[in-house]
Amino acid sequence: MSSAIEIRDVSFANAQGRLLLDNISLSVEEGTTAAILGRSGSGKTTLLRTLNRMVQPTSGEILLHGKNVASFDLIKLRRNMGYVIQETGLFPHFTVERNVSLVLEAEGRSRQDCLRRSHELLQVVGLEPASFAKRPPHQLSGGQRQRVGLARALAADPEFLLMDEPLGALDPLTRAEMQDMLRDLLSRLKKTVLLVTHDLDEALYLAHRIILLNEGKLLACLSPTEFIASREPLIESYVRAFRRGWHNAAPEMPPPK
Amino acid sequence: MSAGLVAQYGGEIATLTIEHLWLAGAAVLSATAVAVPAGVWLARSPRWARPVIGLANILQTIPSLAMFGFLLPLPWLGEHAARIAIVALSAYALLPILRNTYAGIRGIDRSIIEVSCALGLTDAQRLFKVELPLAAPFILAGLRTATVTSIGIATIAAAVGAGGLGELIFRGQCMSCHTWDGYRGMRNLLKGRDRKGVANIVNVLHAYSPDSPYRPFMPPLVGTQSEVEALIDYLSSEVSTQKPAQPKP
Repeated sequence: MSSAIEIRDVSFANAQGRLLLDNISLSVEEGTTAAILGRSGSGKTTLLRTLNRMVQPTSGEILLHGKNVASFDLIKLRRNMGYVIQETGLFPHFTVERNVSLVLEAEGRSRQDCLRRSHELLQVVGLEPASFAKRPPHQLSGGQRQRVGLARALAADPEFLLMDEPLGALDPLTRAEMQDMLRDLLSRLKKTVLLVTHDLDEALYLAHRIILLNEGKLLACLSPTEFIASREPLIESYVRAFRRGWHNAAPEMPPPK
Repeated sequence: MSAGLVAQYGGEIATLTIEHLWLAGAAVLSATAVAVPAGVWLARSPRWARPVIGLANILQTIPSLAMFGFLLPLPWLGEHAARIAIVALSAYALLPILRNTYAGIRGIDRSIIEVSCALGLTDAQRLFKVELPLAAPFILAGLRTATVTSIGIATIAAAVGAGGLGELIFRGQCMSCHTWDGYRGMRNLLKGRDRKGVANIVNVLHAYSPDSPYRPFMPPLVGTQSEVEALIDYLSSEVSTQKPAQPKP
């Protein structure tokens, strides 16, 4: 396997001069999923956005199959990278099927082609086209909206998939269903995926690599088993934050007086 | 009575209405052609938004009568009253369209814009498939405001001779001030008089006194003696083309 994504010494400082990414280097193998974890403001989203050049790194370079992203045509680069975000960003003035097929439409594909592909993708993400295709996005539940967002990201059959807390706003049960769907989908589609999440369980369930950022610095880029076994204090404390309720690390809530 | 009014003035009112709508319509269309692209540009370079919208605001505060006056001496514009009117009305229509286009596009949910970029839409595709459709309600509201304002202000355009329904208003207003029976009253008063007769009437009007039978709130005619002479010339030439009223037997 070769690395599909290679990030080399990437730093980024915002307009105010604050260093959001500090000399990050890592690589992601082709067809695998890497989860990016870290506190809010640790640079997860910024790192994700350097991939499709929504953010221009101040220094360092990002290679896709050895080719610098800066050398790609911007539109082609982005169409080859599906993008899913927590707020979904569905177009409120389009029906579900048109939301999914907009990228194809933009590529100049025929209407027939767009509709066929759009219905096919709705099926893939578990939405019955017959009942969902013609609906406006505001009639959907949060989980259904995320499914549409995912279908839209897959429309142009991109090689890469960037997901920014796609399941962050969902209730635990819906989230678990979506995680099952994603796990199944990702293992079949063989996309190279970067997944930003706050949920260690989700990362362990879906990812082949766990990347941990802290204040813009890379703390870990490890396999799930290595990650939970790590004795690195910052990694350990991150893992413990998810485990304490289950392993009696913390005493039970005292009864009310 | 009203049937008589329609018969007498209907044709004129219709012509003036068409003229009025043409002035306002041409102004709103040309303002849209400028303000919508400008609004789109401002939405993409927001640092220009304050100065440009500020400038449009200043335009808006110029009184319309003054605006028409300012444009009169300009070389190409001044030749044609309708040109002045359309340029001035466009200037007033700019602000509502510009501001609403800008606000409409800036007001779109950031995540929608971000996703349209990240999905690889080109700038033009983003504009025509996402931004303009979503901003359309705002842009149309701006157009409506601009249209209403233009129709209102187009009335004033009659002051520089651009025509429109304002002509009726100005005519009625001047006549009601200087006669006690409107335009027709003035004409009847002058009918059948020679220049000397007209001069007498004008002199009476000019030398207004509280005892005069003319409207007590009418101001005296202002102006120098030569201006008064010119008025007498104008009025007597006006009535000289008309037959003197025949006394009924």
